[in-house]
Amino acid sequence: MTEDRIVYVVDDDAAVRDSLVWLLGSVGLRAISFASAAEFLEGYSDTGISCLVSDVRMPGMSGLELQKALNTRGIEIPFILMTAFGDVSTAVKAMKAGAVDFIEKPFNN
Amino acid sequence: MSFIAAFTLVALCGIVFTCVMIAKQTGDPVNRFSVFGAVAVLLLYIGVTLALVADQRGVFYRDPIELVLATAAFALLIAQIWRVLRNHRKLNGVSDGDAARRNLPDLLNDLPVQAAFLTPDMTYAFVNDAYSASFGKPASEIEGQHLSQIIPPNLLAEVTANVEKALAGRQVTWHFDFSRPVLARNQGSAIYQPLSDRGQVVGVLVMVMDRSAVQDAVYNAEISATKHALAAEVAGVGYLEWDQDGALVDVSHEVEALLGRDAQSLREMWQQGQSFVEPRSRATIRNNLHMAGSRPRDVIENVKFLAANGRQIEARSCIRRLDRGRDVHLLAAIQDVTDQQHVLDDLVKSETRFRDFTESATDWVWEMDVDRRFTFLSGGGRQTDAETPIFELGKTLAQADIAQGEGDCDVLQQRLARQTPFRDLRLVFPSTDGRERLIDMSGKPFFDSNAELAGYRGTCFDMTEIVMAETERKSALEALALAFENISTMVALFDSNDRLVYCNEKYRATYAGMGDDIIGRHFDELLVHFTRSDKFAMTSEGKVRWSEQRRDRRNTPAKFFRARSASGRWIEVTDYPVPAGGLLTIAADITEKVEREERLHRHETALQLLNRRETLGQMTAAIAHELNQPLAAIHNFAAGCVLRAQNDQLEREDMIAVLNNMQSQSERASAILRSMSNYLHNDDADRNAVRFDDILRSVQLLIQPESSASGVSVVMDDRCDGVELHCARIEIEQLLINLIKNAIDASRDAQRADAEVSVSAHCSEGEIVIDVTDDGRGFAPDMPAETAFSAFRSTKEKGLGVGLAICETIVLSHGGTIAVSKSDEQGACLTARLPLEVQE
Repeated sequence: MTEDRIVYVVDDDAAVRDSLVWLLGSVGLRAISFASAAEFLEGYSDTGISCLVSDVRMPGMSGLELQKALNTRGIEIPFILMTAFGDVSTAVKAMKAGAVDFIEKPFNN
Repeated sequence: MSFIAAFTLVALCGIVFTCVMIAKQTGDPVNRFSVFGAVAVLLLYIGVTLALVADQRGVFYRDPIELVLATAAFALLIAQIWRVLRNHRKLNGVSDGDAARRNLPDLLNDLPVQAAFLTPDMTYAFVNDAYSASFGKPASEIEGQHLSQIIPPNLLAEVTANVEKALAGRQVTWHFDFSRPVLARNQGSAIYQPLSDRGQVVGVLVMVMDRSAVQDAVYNAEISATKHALAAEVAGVGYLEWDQDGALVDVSHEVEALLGRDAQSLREMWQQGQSFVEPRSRATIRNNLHMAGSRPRDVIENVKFLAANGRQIEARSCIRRLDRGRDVHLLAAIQDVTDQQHVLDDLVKSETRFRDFTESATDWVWEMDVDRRFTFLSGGGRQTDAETPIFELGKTLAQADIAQGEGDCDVLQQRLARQTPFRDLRLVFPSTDGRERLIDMSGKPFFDSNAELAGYRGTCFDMTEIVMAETERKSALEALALAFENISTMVALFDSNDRLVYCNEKYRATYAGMGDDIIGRHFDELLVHFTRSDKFAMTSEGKVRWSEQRRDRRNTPAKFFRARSASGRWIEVTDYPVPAGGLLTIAADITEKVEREERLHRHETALQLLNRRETLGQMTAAIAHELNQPLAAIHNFAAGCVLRAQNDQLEREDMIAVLNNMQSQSERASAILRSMSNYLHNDDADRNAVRFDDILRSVQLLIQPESSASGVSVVMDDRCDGVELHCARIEIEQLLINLIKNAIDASRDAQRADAEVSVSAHCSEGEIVIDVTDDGRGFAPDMPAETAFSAFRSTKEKGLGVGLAICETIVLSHGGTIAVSKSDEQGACLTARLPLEVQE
């Protein structure tokens, strides 16, 4: 059931956030957005099949820190990081921590 | 021994006894001698009687001489006994109440003073005649009265105090002087003697010694002298005579002439109260008549008479009591002093004026006789500040220490010999200290009533200092002029009418085409020529500006202005107002200087651009990321639309919303690009009024990416509500970006959690105050805050180190200030202040 699959979007930039929700909606995915990592940690509940798409560079807790926090709490959720510039060291760090994918903005589908 | 001899012997013994008693009573040494005398007589008598004892011829007496001796001895004894009794009574009388009081008046009247006896309750027990006469009352009206009822109120306090002291047992001596000029003399001393009986004060004896009588004599002599003097000075001393009832009896011819009325009519007028005397003077005369009548003194006062022709005559009257037999008459000697007074007043005024004048003048006045001997020198002969006087009284001009042959010495001698006036002749006096003294002398001869030369008089003044000052001034001016001649600046001095008084060679050269001499020309003429010259051809606008500024110059402190001539030369003109009312104009060709400044400015501009490129280059990564955001959003929106359109799921409303979103995101991206482009390529340094809020917004746009990339948030606190700043916008943006970028770098280097840069701006007293505070570690100790703005110094590893130096240049060129207002381990704060209106 497509209704059960939820994509969580975490990005501090409202335009990017809204456009991602719109794009995911276009392919039939239900998306819930959060403006910061802290908001996500507060609002997240394990309700089924889901994945997390998060920006790397954010004020407050960054994408990598969010990943670390999830690992610490034992929350297992597929984790996709996005960044404007694919900088290698960040990607390696993310992958090592168990990220599923690493995508560059702007996205090419 | 016969009976008579024995009787004589007893009488002699009695005499000795009484002598002893009298000596005791009086304590007088004379009386003591009389005791010895009496004893000697007694012994002599005994000796003689014993020697004759063998020759006893009778029982009763032997010789008639014995009878005579016995009678004499007896008479003497009776007299002695009477003296003893009288002394006894007198002695007891003082200490014994009633007896003493009966005898006191006699005692007191014997004294040559005013005396009174006061009982302890300050009541007069007795007064002597002199005392009662001084109060003009019979003794019976004083005796029995209290002190306060007799003594005049003005003296009562002092008299009472004296009596009280005396009652306390002390003898008091009081010197008094209540004399009033002309009217009364009352001077003397009083002794308050306590009288006591067996330690108890029973009263006070007051003895007043009045010295007024002595003074009266002196005074009368004075009056008499005055009258004689007056009579001698002025003719026409007349008199008026009154009888004791105050009726005018007689007037002298002089008074008749003075008042223009005959004696008869004057008498009647006085009787009927019609006044030939000025009303106040009439009252004065009446008073004085009364006073003179009761006292043996002259009363002198100034009075005013009214003559028949209406003239008011000032007169001096001296009223004297005349005792003609039993009648008392009063005589007023009257003297017209109207003219005398005026003449005297004028004389005194003129004398005073002359004295004041000669004493206060820096000049001094001299006078010499025919022999050229000084007879008068004002200032006591000491005419200058010098120690020794130049001229001395009694000495001749030739004796003065004049340097012969120098100055106008010879001219002076000629003029004196020719008896002609002379003016401002200079005499040289050698001085011991080597400095010559210069005296300026003016004078003229004067002649007596027979047209004979009587002497010379005139003035002098010491002009040594003046000449010296003048010489110094001249040499200073010459030195100054010489200095002016050799400089490449044009110097000119204009008088208060704006006419040229002085100019140097350089200035003259500029006006070579105007003829030989330009001194005395008006400034406007010069200006016309100047602005037409090839070198300094000037636009008409420039000329007007020059003229206008010059007009204000006289009232304001020195100011300069620069003007550019049509040929491209720059000239700088400074006008200084001079105290005398003119203007000192200094004009310099500053073309080279201006060009140098322009070159410097170009370098500065280039450096500023370099700095902007550098800053922006450092922020490129962050800005690129910032640009990526809208691009990513646009991409997502577009891709979503495509997918939905393919599935026919694209609702019309959704599509409009998404397209709007895409549009605003593309605007967001282009705004960032525009700011960057402006920042790099805008070299518009023109100054305009710009809203400070707008500047802050642009800055925020450019700095925001750097802020989020570095994780240092920038908090803007803009309290400049719509304030406009007159500035070159790009420079102020550069200032702020440099400051904020520096602060972000400093905060990030400190690696503190939640590092923050706060930018606050507010408007205060005509200037905008901008504080940029970071959370860094402050300026390094080896780089003190004072050097923060020096170029090519940096605490950062990268960078040219010109950021803050450029900030300072920008702030200064806007007439503001910038300073490190705080620098410590908790961070630094830089404060820039920019005036809203830049002063040109």
